[in-house]
Amino acid sequence: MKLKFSWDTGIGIGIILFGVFILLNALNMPDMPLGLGPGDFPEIVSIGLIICGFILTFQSFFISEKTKKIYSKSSVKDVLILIFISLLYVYLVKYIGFLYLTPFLMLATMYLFGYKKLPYAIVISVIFTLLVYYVFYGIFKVPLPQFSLFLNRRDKSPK
Amino acid sequence: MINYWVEGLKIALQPNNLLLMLIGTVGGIIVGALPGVTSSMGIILLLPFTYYLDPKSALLMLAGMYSGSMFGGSISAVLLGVPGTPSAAATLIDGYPLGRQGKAGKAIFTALIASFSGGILSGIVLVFLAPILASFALRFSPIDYFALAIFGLSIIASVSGKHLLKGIISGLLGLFISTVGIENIRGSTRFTFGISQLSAGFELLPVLIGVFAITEILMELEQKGQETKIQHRISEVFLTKEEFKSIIIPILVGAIIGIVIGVIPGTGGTIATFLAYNVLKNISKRKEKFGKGAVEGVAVVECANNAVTGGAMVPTLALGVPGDVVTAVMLGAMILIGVRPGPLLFQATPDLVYSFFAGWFIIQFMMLVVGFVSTLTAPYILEIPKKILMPIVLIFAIIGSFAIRNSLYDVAIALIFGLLGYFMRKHNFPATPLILGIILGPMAEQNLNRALILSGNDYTVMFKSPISLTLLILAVLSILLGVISGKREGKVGGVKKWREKMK
Repeated sequence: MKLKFSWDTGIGIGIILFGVFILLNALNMPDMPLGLGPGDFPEIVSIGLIICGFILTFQSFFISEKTKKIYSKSSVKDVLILIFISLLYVYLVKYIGFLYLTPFLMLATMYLFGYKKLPYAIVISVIFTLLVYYVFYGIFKVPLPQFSLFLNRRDKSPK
Repeated sequence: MINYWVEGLKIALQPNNLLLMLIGTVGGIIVGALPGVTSSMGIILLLPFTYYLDPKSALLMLAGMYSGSMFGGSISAVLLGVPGTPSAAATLIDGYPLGRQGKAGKAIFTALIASFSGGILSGIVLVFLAPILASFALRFSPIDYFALAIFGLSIIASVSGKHLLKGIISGLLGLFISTVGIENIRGSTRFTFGISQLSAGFELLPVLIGVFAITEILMELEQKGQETKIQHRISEVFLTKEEFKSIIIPILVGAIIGIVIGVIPGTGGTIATFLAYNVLKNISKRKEKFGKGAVEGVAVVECANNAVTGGAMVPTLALGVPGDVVTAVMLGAMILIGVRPGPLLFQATPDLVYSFFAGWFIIQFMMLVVGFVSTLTAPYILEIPKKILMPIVLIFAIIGSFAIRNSLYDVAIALIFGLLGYFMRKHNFPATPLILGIILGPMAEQNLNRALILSGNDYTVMFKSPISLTLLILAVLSILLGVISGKREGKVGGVKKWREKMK
C-alpha cells in the first residue's frame, strides 16, 4: 500500500516535535515534594500533544484529504503582505506616530482588498484615523504612539 | 434579594448605562447582520471601548452586543441568503424562501418577536437558576474546581464538530500557552526562552483579537472581500393576526429547547436551532410548509437562538465555565474588564450581578425597538462594502490590542496569532478550544496543585469527592454528546448545498 503524504502529515510531525520540545523543557524543571511541580502540568500537556500528533500523522497516511488545493498562490501572497505591512506598521508607528502612519496602513489594506477608488480611499482613511484618534487619544486618554523621529525615543515612545 | 434587584435596577437605569446598552445593542445588530463579522468578533472589537468604563457599565454594554448580534444574524439570512452568524444558519431554511415570496419584512419581524421572546424567557431562567447554581458551587473544594475546569474543557468535543482530534490539539496548545510566563507554584518563569516580555505570559485579549478578528480579515482577504448582493427588498413588515397566533407554539418550543441546550455547557446556538427546528417540524400539522417559507420555521429558530444566550449565561456567570463559543469569548471579555465570573461573583459583587440581570431585560426591549428600526434600514447597513469594512476592523483590532496595556508588543502578538489562526482555519483546527485552554488552563493547574497539597499527593481524591466525580462523569458525557453531534454535523450543516438547491 502506498503511503500518502499530505499537509496533515507535516502538521502531525510538527506537533510531535513541538510536544517533545515542551516535554524536554518541562522535565528539566524541579519537582516538588507535595503538589505539582512547575513542570508537571506542561508535561501532561506535552504528552497529550505527542499522542495527538502521532494519531494525526497516522490518520493522514490513510485518510485521503480532499483534493481541493488549500492555498492559492495569490491569496497567500496577499495574506503575507498584509501581515508584513501590519508588522512594519507596529515597528514604525513608535517613530512616525499613530496619526500620521495609520492612514497609510488603511490605504494599503483597502488596496489589498481591491478598493481602487484612490480619492475616496484617501478621504476615508484620513477621516477614520482622525475619528479613532480623537475618541481614543482625546476621550479615552490612550497614549497612542506620537511622532518621535527626531526626538529622544526613550522619552516618547511606548514599549 | 429585593434589595439587590432594586439596587441593580437603579444602576441599569442610569442614563449613561442606558445609553451604553443602546450603543451595544445597535452595534450588536449591525455586527450580527454583516456577514463575515461574527458575534465573537463584535464582542472583542467592543472591548477597547469598555476598558475605560466601570465594570458594571462595561458588562451591560457587552450584554447588549451579545443579544443584539444574535438577532442581527437573521437579517442577512433573510436578505442575503447568507447567515450573519453561525447560529442564524437555520434561519435561512424558511427565512430565505419568505424573502423570495416578497415577505422579507415579515420574516425579519418574526425573527425579532421570536428573538425578544427567547431573550426574555431565557432571562427569567437565568435570574432564577444562576444564583442557585452559584450558591451550590460555593461548596466546591479545590479538586471540584479542577473537575469543573475539566468539564469546561470537555466542551472542546462539541465546538470542534467533526474535527475532534484537531480540536483537542488546539485545546492542548491553549493549555500550553497558559503555562508560559511566571507560574503560580514557585514563582519561577516557564517557557520564556530569555524573552523578557514573555514573563508576563500571553495577554488574553491580543490572542482573542488575533484568532477571531485578524484571522477573519485574512480569510476575507482571500476572497478579496467578495460582496454578497442583497436578494430581497423589505415590503410587508407586520404579521396578520393568524400569523401571530401561529408563532406562539414555535416560540415556546424554541424557548424550551434553546434554554435547556444553552444551560448545558458545550452545546450552543447552532445545535439548539437545528434541533428546535426539527422538533417543531415533527410535531407540526403543517409539515409540508416547512422549508418553503413558514413563519413558524423562522420563529422557532430565532427564539431558540436567543434563548440560548440567557441559558448559556447561567454556567458562565455562576461557574465561570462557558456555555458555548460566544460565551467563551464573553467569559474572556468579562475577565478583561475586571469581572471574574464564578460563585464568588454573586457574594462579592451582588450589585454587579443584579444590574446585569436588570439590564438583560431592558436590553431585550431595546432590541425590540432598535430591531424594528433596523428592519427598515437593514438594506443600507448591508451595503457597507467589505473592502472598506475590513480595513476599519483591522485598525480597531490594532487599537484594541494596544490599549490593554499600551504596548506595541501586544499588537505584534495579535498579528502573529492572526496568522496562526489563519493557518489553523485553513487546516480545520477550530480556534475556540485554543481560547478555552488559555482560560481554563490556570484554573485546572492551580486547583489540582492545591488539592494535591491538601490530600498529600493523593490523585484518587478526584474520584472520592462526589461533586468532582459527578463533574468528571458529566465531562465524559459531554465529550460523547459532542462526538455524536459532530458526526451528525455533516447532515444538518450543509447550508451551502441547500442554498444551491434553492437556486
